Amino acid sequence: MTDRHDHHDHNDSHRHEKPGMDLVSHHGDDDVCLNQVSFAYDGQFVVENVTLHAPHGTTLGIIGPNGSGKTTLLKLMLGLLRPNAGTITVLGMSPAQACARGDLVGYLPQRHELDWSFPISARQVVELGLVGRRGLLGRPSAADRRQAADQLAAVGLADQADVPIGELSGGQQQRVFLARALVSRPRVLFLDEPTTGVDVGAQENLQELLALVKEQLALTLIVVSHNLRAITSTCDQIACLNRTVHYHDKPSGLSREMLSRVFNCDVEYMLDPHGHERH
Amino acid sequence: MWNICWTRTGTSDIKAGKPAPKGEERVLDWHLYLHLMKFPLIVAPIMAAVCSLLSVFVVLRRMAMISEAVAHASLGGLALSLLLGYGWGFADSYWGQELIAGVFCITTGLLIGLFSRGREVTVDSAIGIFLVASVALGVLMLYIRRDLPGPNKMPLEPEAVLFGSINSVAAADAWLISILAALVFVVVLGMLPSFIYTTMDEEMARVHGVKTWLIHLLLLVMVSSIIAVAARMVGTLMINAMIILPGATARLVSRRFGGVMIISLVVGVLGVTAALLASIAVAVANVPFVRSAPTGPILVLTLFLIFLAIWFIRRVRLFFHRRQKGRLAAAQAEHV
Repeated sequence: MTDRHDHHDHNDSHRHEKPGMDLVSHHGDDDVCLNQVSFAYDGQFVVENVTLHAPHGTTLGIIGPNGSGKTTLLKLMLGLLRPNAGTITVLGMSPAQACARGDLVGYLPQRHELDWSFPISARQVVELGLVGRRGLLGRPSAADRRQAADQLAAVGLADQADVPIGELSGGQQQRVFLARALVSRPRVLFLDEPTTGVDVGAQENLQELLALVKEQLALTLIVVSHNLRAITSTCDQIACLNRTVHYHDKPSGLSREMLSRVFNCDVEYMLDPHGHERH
Repeated sequence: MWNICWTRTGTSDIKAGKPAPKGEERVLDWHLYLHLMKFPLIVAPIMAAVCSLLSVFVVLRRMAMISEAVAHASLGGLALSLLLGYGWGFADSYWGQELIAGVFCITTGLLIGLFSRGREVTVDSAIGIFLVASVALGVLMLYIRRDLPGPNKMPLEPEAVLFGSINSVAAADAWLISILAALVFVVVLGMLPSFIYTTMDEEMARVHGVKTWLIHLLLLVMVSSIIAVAARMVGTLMINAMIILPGATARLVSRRFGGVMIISLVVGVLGVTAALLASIAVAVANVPFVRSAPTGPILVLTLFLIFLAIWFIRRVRLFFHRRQKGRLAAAQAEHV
């Protein structure tokens, strides 16, 4: 990993050079801010009046049952969808502006949303993470290739660099995509159900890897998951979402009553059997 | 080997399928024949190369049906130019036909994209709707134009539009396809990483700052333009095969993007050139029943046979590989 501070300064200088940035709603140390955000599909609200913030260097976990609007909210934060109401800022810019830079935002999507027979090697996948930064006509330089190789080595897959992506195991594929998300040295990393479809051993490896890169790169993490146990143990803040935000604070303040209301079911099985501290 | 002797006989007689005079062996001057076919022999490999390059993205992006609809739209475009040509000379000219057909194809491609953006009309429905509408419109306009009174007769028969004629391409076609092919190669190879990323995962490419809308638009415009130009040569029914088969074949062989691109180009160029030579050979050798067969179907069938052969070889290899794996597993289990 390269020195995070150098990169941070570099990004800051770029950020202030960029014209047309909306710095009004960028609250102090918050890297991601959502203010009264609503979004509807065909007139039906999927996300309504959501206000969230993620300070720099923290991990915000967004939990909720299936169909609660978690992935929609993530897509709004990534600029893939536009809100019907409210404002979203990522590092003081609109999500689309932040993504257009190519080196501020990282994203690890859900595992199953890809054609696994696509003819591409692990190394090439990681190199794709630098395409946006180079621009439409940019070619990968020797430094880019080295950076991609280093990133692949950092996730422990240096020896699998030339293996087609479809021939790797689920855990290895997730690590390749994590390397792609991190290769441009982003400042905010969005993760959508990062451990879904991955076996238990690989899940633990991935969690450890995430904790390590977060510390090394001083990342702000936004994690969307329905895995309550994993999220409560790793996040600094939690947001319980079921169309709107029911709770947004530290995990320690989360009660079983709140979870039952959000998930609309008995949440005993979601928590560890000795989870008395949750009360 | 082709059964051809090296003496002098009129090439036009052979092309017209006239039987050899009694007691005289059917022969021809190869030099003359190749001279007559020089433009097809230049145009066909160039057309194959550009179609094969786009084929990789069409197949991997699962756009085969969109290109099918655009290919059928070229019939509508050509018919429109012929209908307009009744009263407007430019529309009946070579460049007029190319321009109108090109605009018609590109508009159809963009309309499919526009209609399928919302949630009301799915992509497959939009493709189906525009495919049948453009064919219906094209056939209707062709027959209206053919039956219009007056001395200004239609320069093409409806069948010629459907099946095309690569043997009749001229210098203008060679120039047009060469310029278009050069542009496509420059655009695709110049922006290759963005094309690969958008093809693999459009959403992720957007998150990483790739202008995916531009890549999508460029691909649609390039495919539509090539189809509009090439459809005159191989026919609106056949052109789609050249846009799908090389990429689909290459995907069976390689698991690397570069490999898929190279194999697609090799399969397309060699397959089309071989088909054209075979077509010339059957005409020259005066093979009964097929000597006057249009080149388009021969070309498509050649590409199809290459695809089928590679698919078969792959299945056989996979079968033996699995059997060997099964035996190894059984041997290991026995050993334990």
